[in-house]
Amino acid sequence: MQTATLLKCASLLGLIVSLSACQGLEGVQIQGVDLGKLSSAGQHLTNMGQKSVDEERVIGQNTATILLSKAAVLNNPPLQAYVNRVGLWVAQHSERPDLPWRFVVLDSPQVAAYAAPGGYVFITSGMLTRMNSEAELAGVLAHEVAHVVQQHHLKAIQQQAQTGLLTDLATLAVQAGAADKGGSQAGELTDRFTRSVSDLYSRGLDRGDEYEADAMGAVIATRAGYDAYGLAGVLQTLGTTRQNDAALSSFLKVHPGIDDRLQRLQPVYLYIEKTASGPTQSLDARYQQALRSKR
Amino acid sequence: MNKGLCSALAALIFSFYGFSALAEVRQAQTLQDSPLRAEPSASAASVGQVGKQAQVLVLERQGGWYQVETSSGQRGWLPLLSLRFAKDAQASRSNDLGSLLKLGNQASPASGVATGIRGISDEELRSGSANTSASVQSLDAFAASPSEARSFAQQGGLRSQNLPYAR
Repeated sequence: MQTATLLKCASLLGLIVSLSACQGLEGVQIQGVDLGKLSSAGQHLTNMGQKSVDEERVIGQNTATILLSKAAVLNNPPLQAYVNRVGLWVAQHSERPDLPWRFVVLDSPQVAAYAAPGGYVFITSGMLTRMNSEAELAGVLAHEVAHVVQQHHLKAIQQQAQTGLLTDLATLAVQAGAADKGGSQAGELTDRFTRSVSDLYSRGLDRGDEYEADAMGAVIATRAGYDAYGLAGVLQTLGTTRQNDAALSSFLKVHPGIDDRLQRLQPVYLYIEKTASGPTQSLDARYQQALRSKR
Repeated sequence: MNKGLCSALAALIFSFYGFSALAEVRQAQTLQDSPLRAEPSASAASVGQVGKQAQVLVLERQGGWYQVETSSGQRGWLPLLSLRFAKDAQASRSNDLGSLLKLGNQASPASGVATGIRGISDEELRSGSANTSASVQSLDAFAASPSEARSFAQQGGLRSQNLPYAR
């Protein structure tokens, strides 16, 4: 009883803080989302676990905006369209087929793929050149889709925020975006948000989240009709990297080892082989043709 | 611009699925004793036995199987998960998100443009200069519609199937 009252007070305080913080944003539209509406929607939230899809989208959009200001989008519309078709087909076999999924090829020799809340998935051109088939691409995209479906990043932020940041995350994300664009909304709250985010980054996503995304990704890609081993095939290539590489060791500090991931995928593949019955495709030729497309 | 915020936020929120460079290396090592199969199937005839930590050359992948050649020149199929590729002799690229993010601000990719396994380089994927200030909305231009995705899948012979998650 007392605890409940305390919690109510705390969340009320959080709302007050958040409302005063977003005064300057009332009626402002950012990326097609009416912030006024959003902040009033926020008033009905009593805890961070009740994020609406809209809020998730706003957090994702602001995250995507920040990334896009740092990394270029590959100028190859046919290839972008191709990756979006593979990605959407895969995502339609997830539990969130109706999100406005956006797949983006970044112009970078780095080998990486990322997801952001709300349905954003990024993959580097460097990674595309190192894969062999559409099934491998599908496996990687399915892993990222699984992160979005399970809201791994959103939940990690919420968890961090709950430890002392009782305010509207979406509003904070918008403010962070505004501050990034030279706006004047940066304040104590966004600083606190930044700190929370930084803390979380040094900790990294839970290993369990990566394992889960691997296991789900293999299944999602199989549902879409792809060779289930695409993901494992790409993961195998990770194992070819020297362990003493400085950048890799810092990567491994916050991510499960590749051998570990492949090992944990073994029962998943046994399950898939036993359970899945449909024909699967690898589509090597279509993938390579897409890589050679121009303009 | 709040640089600390940007990098921290992006670094945190983005799913970190950093893949290391895949080189042309096809040398692999077996993790366990395994029968070498005539076909990529557990029910195929055994054409020999490969010991633990044996070095093999990987020729091809078909589903969960690699076609390999043993040091004695014998060919056959081994389960994908029973092999690990040899470490790449070539230095890997950084998996650090920070360095990924900085790339957009670099003047040029300079030397050593990476070439993938099919001989296609990052450079060749570009049809012009990169769009360095793309907005989130501009991504809509590439988005696929559900019907496009469906006919795309049909063209590739992709057939949906029901498959619950492994429990």
